[in-house]
Amino acid sequence: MNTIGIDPLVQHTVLFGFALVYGCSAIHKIRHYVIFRGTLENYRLIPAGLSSAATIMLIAAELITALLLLTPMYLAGVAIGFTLQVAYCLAISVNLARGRVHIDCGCMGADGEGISIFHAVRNVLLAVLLASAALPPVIREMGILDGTIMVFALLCSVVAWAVVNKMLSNYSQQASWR
Amino acid sequence: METLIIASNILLWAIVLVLLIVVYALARQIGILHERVAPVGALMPMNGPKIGERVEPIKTDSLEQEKVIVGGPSDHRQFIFFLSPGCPVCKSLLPVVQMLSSDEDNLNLVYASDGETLKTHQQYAADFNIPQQQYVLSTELGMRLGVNKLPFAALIDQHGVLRARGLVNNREHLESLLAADEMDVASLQEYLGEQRAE
Repeated sequence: MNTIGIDPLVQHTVLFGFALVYGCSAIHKIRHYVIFRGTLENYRLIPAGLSSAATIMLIAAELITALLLLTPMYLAGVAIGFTLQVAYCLAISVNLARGRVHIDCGCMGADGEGISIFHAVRNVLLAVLLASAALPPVIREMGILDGTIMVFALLCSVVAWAVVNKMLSNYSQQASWR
Repeated sequence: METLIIASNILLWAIVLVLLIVVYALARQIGILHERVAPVGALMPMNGPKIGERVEPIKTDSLEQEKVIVGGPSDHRQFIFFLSPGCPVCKSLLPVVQMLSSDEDNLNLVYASDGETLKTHQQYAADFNIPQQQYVLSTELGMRLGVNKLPFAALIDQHGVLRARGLVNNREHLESLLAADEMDVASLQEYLGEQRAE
């Protein structure tokens, strides 16, 4: 019986990529802890008294996800990461519906740009991409070429991430003129 | 053959990476361009009175056919918004003008226009809740303040001195006239120019 599988190269690239995203994101949040707590409060989804606890929980969840994605227990990491992405997407959607588009996204590398429907769409796409890593891997041997391609793919992803963030910030900047 | 495929694969990855970096650089350039062309302040025409010049009192007629003096010393600052019933941008700016003037203390708002028939102006004022006693018709006023395009706005202080004037197309432009007065500069462009020179 044929089952849908994922090539180990793609799976490893996705897992490493997301470990990088969550790791950097958690470090970014720790370095700008007070600002991130303020950003979280601006979403107005949790009582003000719980904002510190929620901030610490989110940072811890991101750190744990980043570590789990690099271990054989990666499926747990995928589950937590997927939940985080869905939660972020819901938080953005609720505030878009409330018309609070001026608030900071709180996403790494995208400070002070407001939120838009594209932020929600981006999170959905990221969630789907992360979920794909949970598919059973096709068994094959990995070579040096696989490693080289993975390094290139990760480098390209990092630059592509920066491009998307830059274009989102350009869009928000232009939208604020109207 | 296999070596060739491996080499071409790696080369293609390298090209994709370089292209992505180029795309990032272009996106960054667009961001910088956005910053440079962002609406800064009302555009001040070259002709007409200079900022800081005294505006002699001009007698105008309101829609209620009462005499309204614009310019010259008065108890309040005067914010004159030049409009025309046939100007769509003027229409979109009316709520902003009304809100800005109500937020400011010690500011008299005057709507100025000319041409068209009195009835057209009265209908326009009624349609957009403009108080008729604040709506004046005067060709002289526009000429004295160097109005060449609409919508245009000017700010005259209590001593009858012209504080700011310019073509206004959005809220930022309108606010820039009041900000220029508060910061005691002729225009926000002049202020930014000085900042950059420093």
